[in-house]
Amino acid sequence: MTSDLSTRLRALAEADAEPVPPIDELILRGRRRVLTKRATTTGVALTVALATALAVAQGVGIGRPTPAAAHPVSLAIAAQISDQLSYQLTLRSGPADAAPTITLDGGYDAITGNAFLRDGGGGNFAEQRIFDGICWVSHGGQWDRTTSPCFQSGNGTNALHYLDPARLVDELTSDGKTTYVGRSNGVDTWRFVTVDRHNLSTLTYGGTATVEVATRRILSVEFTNAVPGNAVSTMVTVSYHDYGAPVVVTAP
Amino acid sequence: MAGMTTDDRSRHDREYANFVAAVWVPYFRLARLLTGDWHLAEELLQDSLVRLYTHWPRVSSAGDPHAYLRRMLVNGNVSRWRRHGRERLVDVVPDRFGPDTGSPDPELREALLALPWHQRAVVVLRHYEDLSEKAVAEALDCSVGTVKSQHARALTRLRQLLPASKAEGAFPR
Repeated sequence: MTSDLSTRLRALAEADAEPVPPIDELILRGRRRVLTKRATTTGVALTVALATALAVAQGVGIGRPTPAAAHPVSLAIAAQISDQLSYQLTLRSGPADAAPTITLDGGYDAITGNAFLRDGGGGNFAEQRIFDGICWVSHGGQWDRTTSPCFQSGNGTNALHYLDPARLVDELTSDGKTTYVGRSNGVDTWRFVTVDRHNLSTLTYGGTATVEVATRRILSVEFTNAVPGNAVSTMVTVSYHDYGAPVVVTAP
Repeated sequence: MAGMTTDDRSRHDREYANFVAAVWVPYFRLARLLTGDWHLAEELLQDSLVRLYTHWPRVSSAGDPHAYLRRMLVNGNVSRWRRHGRERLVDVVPDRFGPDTGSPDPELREALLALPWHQRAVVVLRHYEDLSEKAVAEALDCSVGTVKSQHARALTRLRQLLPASKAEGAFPR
């Protein structure tokens, strides 16, 4: 083969600077895709099983109206539904036995994937934004583009997890130790315990997640994380609200 | 990834992140040649990498992630082409010139875009990626004979579209 065409193709391909790889964003989107596939599969299986059971038990067609289901809303499905909408969140974090030391407010635009996290007190930044897959940070003055992971909160935890209810629930329930607590005032409560061995020291997470039954959306996630044998533990409370309302994130 | 432990997920995420960091630039360039557009290339590559993430444990342990990603790029571009054809609708007039306006070889760029997607993919995979006919056939999920015939047609068309190259005898017959 002549080298001319290859040379010209290479020159054409290398003409401009390449964009920065949005690795965190790709992982986030990949996890959402995994969750969606999992939830869809589970949903289809549950629907088929329920329909079959009803048809057998009642000896009637599947299309007949059925009584209101008393089954708890699956956390995975709630996470998947929550993830399809724009929303805002409030995060509080601090020692488990004292008042929160960090407060953050944030929002996520499900259409563009843009998001922001604003310091309400105690954080190590004024505001961070993901815009078009690029992370920007401001400490109160100018905006800086950063290649470090976005949404690092003041206590070193990755608040990107908290910005995404599906990812947070996925992380916190990854051990599968999730139990249904019950339903009260139209809200389902789930309890979870998981162990995180990512870091040098093992962290144990325990807490609850609440789901609004009517909308099947995640309302809040509250948990403590602690190092076994260590008296100090951290309490994190995240509430998700204003689902479906527009979230405007502008370019810094 | 169902059934994965936290350790597994963390390890796979690290491996995946390393892979993306290593391949982002070369595959962005490949996507750019396939699509002919800087922004579409980024979109195509991101979509392909997100798909790759969902299959990462299997692909990374048992397969060749490069071949897998290359195939997804080509297939993703074909799907996009089938959905939108050559028509590109915009709701607003771009407020700035895209990076492609400064192309160093606008003739070649236009000629590539004038090729049907299958021929363009064959040319790019053969002459930019330096893949063998067999590897191109695997990437495009077609026979080696089809690759040969599409390649010949593509070069004939390029000679017509790039007369200067023909005069210099630049492209093979």
